[in-house]
Amino acid sequence: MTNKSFATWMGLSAVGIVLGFAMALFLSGIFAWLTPEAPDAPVKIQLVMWLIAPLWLSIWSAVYVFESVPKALKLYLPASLVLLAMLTLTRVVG
Amino acid sequence: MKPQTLYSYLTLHTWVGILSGLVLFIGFYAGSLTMFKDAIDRWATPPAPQSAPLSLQDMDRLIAHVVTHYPDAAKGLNVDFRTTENAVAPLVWDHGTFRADYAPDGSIAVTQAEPSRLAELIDLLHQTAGIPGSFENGHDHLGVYVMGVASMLYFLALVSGVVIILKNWWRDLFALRIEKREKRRWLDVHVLLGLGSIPFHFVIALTVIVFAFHDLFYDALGKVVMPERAPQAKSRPAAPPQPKPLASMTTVLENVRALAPEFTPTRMLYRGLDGQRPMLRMGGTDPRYMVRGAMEGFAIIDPYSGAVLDAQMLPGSESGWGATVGTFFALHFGSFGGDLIRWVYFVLGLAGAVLFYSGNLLWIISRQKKSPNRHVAALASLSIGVTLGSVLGVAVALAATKWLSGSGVTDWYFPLYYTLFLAAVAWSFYRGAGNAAVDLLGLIALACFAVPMQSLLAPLFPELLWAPRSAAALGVDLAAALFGLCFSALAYFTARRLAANALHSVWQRRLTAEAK
Repeated sequence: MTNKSFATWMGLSAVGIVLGFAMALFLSGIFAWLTPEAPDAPVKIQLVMWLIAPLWLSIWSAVYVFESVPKALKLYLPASLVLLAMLTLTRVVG
Repeated sequence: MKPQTLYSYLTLHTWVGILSGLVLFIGFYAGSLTMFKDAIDRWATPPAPQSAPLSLQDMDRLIAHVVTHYPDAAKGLNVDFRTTENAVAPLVWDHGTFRADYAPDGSIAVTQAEPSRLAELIDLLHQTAGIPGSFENGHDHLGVYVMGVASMLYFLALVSGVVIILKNWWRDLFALRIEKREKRRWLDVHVLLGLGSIPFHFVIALTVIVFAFHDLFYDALGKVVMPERAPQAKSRPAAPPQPKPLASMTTVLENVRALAPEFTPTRMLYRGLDGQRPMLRMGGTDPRYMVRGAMEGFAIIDPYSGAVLDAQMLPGSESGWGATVGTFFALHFGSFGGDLIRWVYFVLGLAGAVLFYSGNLLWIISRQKKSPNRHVAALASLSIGVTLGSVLGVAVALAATKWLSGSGVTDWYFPLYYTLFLAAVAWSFYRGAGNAAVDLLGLIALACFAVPMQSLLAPLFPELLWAPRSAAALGVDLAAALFGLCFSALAYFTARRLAANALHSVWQRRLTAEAK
């Protein structure tokens, strides 16, 4: 059982914070565009905003499963790009 | 699950817990007190002759008079419909400094008074943990952001805590091994409290993050998710600034009740009557529905026409998206089930405070044998000083409220709180955590007992003190006495363990001196 180095802890946290936030933002954006009403309809936008925190923190807290920063990036980076592509697609269609 | 994954989450739990535990402790116990903010406010309000509830027509006349003659009142004017003893005047403005009412002869009387800042102190401790500093004209408190970051760590601690426990779930839950080793016992308390209220904790962690960072989230959504949709001007039609007659209370209430028939107004706020965006916000309750705010639901009204502009925060008329969003607020404020839920939230909040306290204790206990150095002793002193010092500050503030309010001294809550808080932290480092804990617990108990003493001594000092005038105010006295008993018991047991040398040396000061 090996413990992670301090640098690994900080690196994983950075991945979780940055890419976790990006993915949460993209996911709530996809929700905003695919559900009824305009994406920024007055009250709906509040719900969309509320979605960010639970998504962000859930994705962030899962990052410590990985033993190293490259291993985490190997999943989080492509996932972020796929979600960004999906968001762009829903924006074009919607 | 791989053993190293479990170990990672154990390490994560330990460190995010120790980083966020102390501010969360303050936020939680103060949050528990805010559940009974109204009762505390009623208890703390000095007796004053109370006028009978005004008729709506009298209210109209009073509002029109004040808005015309007092320019500050046009900026923000609070209208009070309540009949409880903390409703000091039908009209109040400038943070409660000015009050308007009818004099016995029927003329309009405007008086100046210094409002109690007790409720403000408790609110601020709840929202900022007492961390000072603000920016942008005092609207943004630094402490709110600190609380938001602490809540992110808190969320990580919750997830990692659940991951650790998942394997031994049934064995650990409900297994209070009282007589076993100290660490085992505290671990059982920690696990039972944490798992027992895990939905509440997830709700609080996420709502606090949103309360702190919603502006950032909205900005990010606007820039990244929907940049093609320019932010719509959310302004209502700008009203001409020249004075116009306000809509009558009768009209306003009719319009609101057309949407929510059983709506009972409690308070209203006129804002910006002198500016481009005048607004009337009517707050009230409907016993059948949960409410959006901490105490009441709201309707946004055009102050001149009396038309309801926004009913999304009105109890019972929230629908679709608004109902879901309203749920998040109600789940944080515990405003969805009357007094029963208020009590449940009060207990959950205190249990949360004990959860964070026990977390710090576990950190210390698990390190005192392995590496009993001055860092562990310092964390012990800091934990005792911050938690008990904060409680002491609030308890003494409550114990002094009636004496000082009766003698006309105002604006002392914040200096008093910070003096006691910092003194307690210093004392804890000077005396060592163990001894300081006994001292501080004893002082807190005394302060708690002094709260109802103010009411008991009221007949002897009729000029200064007053007895409770309602069940709610009496409840504050009784609760304080009960807390006094609890803290006395804690002080007694801590002293006994210290005397029996049952506590490890990190709780004593001399280790700190040697380790240097």
